[in-house]
Amino acid sequence: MNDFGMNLTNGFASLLGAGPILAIVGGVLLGIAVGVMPGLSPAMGVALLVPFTWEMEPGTALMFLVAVYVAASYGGSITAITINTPGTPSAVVTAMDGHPMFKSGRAGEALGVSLVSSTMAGLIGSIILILFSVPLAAIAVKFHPAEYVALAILGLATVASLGGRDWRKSLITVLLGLLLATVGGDPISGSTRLSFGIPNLADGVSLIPALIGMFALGEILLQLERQIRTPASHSPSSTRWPRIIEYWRLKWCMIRSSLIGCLIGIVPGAGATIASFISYDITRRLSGRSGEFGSGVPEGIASAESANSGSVGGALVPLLTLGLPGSATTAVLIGAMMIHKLVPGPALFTKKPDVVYGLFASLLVANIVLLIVGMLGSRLWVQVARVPRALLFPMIAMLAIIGSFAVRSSLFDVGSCAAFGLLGWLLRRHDYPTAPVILGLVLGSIAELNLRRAFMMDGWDVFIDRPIAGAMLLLAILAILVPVLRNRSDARGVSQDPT
Amino acid sequence: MASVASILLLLASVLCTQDSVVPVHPIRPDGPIRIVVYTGPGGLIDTTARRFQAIASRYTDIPIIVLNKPGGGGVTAFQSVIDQPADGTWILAVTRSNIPSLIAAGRESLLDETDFAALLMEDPECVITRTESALVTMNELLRDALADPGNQSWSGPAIGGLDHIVAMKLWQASGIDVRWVPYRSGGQAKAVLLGGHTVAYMGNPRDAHGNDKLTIAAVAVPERLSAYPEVPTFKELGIKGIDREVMWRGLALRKGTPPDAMVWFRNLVRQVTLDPEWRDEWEETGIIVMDEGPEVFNGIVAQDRIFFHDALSRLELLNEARKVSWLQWMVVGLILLIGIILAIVLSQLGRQHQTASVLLGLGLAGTALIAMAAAFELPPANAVDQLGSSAAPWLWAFLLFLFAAAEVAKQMRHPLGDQPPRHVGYRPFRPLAFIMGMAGVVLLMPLLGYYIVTGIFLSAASWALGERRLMVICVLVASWCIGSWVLFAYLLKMDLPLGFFMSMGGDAA
Repeated sequence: MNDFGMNLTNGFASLLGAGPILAIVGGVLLGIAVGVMPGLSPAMGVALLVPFTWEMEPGTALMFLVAVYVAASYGGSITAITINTPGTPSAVVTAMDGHPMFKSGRAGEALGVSLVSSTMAGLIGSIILILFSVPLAAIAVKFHPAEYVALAILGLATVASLGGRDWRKSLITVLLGLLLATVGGDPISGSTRLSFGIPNLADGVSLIPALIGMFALGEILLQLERQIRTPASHSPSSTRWPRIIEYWRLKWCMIRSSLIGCLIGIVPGAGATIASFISYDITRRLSGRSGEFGSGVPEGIASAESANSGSVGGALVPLLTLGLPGSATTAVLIGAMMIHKLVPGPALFTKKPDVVYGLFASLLVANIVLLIVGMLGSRLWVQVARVPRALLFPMIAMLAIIGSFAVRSSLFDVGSCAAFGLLGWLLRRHDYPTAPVILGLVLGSIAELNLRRAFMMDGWDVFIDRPIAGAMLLLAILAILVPVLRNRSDARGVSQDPT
Repeated sequence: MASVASILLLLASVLCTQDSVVPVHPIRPDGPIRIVVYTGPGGLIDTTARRFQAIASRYTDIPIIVLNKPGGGGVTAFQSVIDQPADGTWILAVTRSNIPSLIAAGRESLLDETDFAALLMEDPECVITRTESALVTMNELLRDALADPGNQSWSGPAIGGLDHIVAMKLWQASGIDVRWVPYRSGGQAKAVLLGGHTVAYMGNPRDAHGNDKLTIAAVAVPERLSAYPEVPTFKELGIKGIDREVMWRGLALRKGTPPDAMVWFRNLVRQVTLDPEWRDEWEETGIIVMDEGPEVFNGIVAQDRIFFHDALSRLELLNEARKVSWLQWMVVGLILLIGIILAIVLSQLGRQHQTASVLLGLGLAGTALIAMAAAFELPPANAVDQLGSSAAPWLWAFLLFLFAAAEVAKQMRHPLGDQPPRHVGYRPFRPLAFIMGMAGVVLLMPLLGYYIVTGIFLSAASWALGERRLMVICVLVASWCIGSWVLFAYLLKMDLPLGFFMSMGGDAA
């Protein structure tokens, strides 16, 4: 057996003991609790749970924290599906099809697809991490700011898929998101933009309160206004789980989206949000029923969740091989590793192979534990459908309040959440889609700042000199224009057809 | 008369002397100690605070809570500590980065109200290069930069931060012209260095610790670091004036903290800084562990204020805190006027739902106009930043205005285009009442605290929405409060607001 096989075997052997297994199970349970709570992002959850590891062995501590990361990335989908409250920006995509499925009495199906997609993607991402981490990391750091711009614009191009037939309204909301993304400190000029002297806006619009307000509160307010009753609350179908054949039908969607998530996750700073939106868009375009997306299609959930969870393995690639954070959570993990005298980077593989391969093994095990715990827990989440709205709505509002407060211990954020709730309600009331606001808010600064950096480093012709960036940009432009032109020609066809 | 005066003088001097030699006894704080961190969880200062918390807990049984209050480069955290009583129970975790941030934000007065009580460590600034590049050593970097001025790119954190200012000082001292490519985080700035897009990164030795793909080219301390004996200092390389450039980290209290509380705090800090685990943890990554009291620390801060004032004014980053300008007020007024007129006209025509739709479009267009007016005041493009700070906000605002105005025009042209809602029991005022309830929560929470306000809101909202079973409401409130306490206060050690009255009760107890 070669060194790799031997190390991996030793890695699995290191899990044989009460300590590592307890750490993984505990990490998964706490990770789900963190993910379920809107406002507690995986990064924040991991950071807050680092003190739990002070007395643990370094390898066990890392297993625990990575299990939290894996489970928290999945946990966001639970509230996205059940109460339309995505705890992270990437879970917005899950909510787009997950919540309509939940409302139409297919809660079990939605939660099942989400869980299985997450664990499948987690396993695929882990296998890629184990087998190809070193070459992939070398490619990832070659990403020039121009490529980041192209990737962000490719992500923004998905807005064409989000708006349905009225592309103007999608455009207005994505522009609103892009404008909001410019609020706060500008790292390139050092100035503070559009904060109007409000100190709480000096760091920009806080994303999580915006997210919770726009989706969770927006939904409650709309239902309160329209007296919509959550249907099928006692429908037998709400607890029905998908059959194996239904999962099997989603296999290509899961594999493709996991790979997209993992590959985008490897690029430092790109993140799960772009991966989820791009993956959703690709799945929708390849699907034969693209018009049904957004109304409760399992492929929508599978693509979003696979990309989101796939990005976890991807983000660990630059962390372990180069000591670079691929995401906000891995930035926290670097700090935690340093405290445990583990130095992330190339030397870790040679100096501490037991820790690295133990981590690889624990990632695979954590995903399996997640599947088991998630299946048991989903029986509980399905029951949300049975809670009367007189109790459910105040609970969601309280969840929004505490979730917004948790981000920065700030009541300003709670107020900001309420303001975004009002905005979300008004937009949805007049058929403006809200997901593009979040898309613009997340991707706006990635696109703008990297464009400025690209020009600073290589001048105006940077996109001509870098063919990959140029090709991605062209693809993005086509992705925006094709659906718009198709909609226009469809509309013209309808208007010319007298019947 | 002279003798009386001399006796009085003697008496006064004896009293003064007595006052100054009265021993100050350390007094334990009554309540828990809170360490306020100006960043979110996970940054190096957050890690420092949490490690301090863990090690200090060995020496005191008083609970220590780490509280993250990010915002405004430290403005929110400083303000939150200054707003508390000066009793030594609210501690601020500070770094040298706070000084330029507060000066640039026009909130330097916050530094006057802060007592920098314990300097814990100094993290030297250094230049890091890529091991596999042609420019690895400081001399190679300098030779290349002198041979081809303006062609090198260095990456690092934001403009106006410590790393950027030290880099500028270094370029000036060595007579080179280099381009700075700023990033929000050090991780991404290191990634572009590793990708070969920039040739150097300005940071701290910890950034390259244990990574053989990165090389520390030179470090800004008077003598070589024991953790990196092979790394030359700038002084050795003949670059003058970069002898002691460090990122310090420490703890501060509100000015006016009583001496007895200060003595207790200083004793605790001394015990932590002498702890071998604390020292080893930091020293092995090149950080210099220290324990300096307020006399030295406040002096360092005073010097830094002068230094950063000068550096930021040269960068033209010394802006007064921006307020809403008269132009923006005018735009707001104009939009409100148009909105009111349109609302009246449409209501008279019996098109209420259309009114709401038009007002929403108008609101969006108005927001865009205000942003456009504000964007005019931002730094324009220059030779280095070819798009400038104002381009993106201006472009997005302009496009938003254009499309929102088109949407308003479309609504006005097609009065029946936007059909009224078809749902039964359409009640537009219920959402507004719900939002008002939430606003009440925000207003009452500082006074009554999270748990009481939660109880009131959950009961009132459930009742208003039709739940009449008192037992169910009680169970809901109780389980919610217990659940919040377990997750936030017990497991995650997060501080939920207890409110004015409960805090008073806690202090008294």
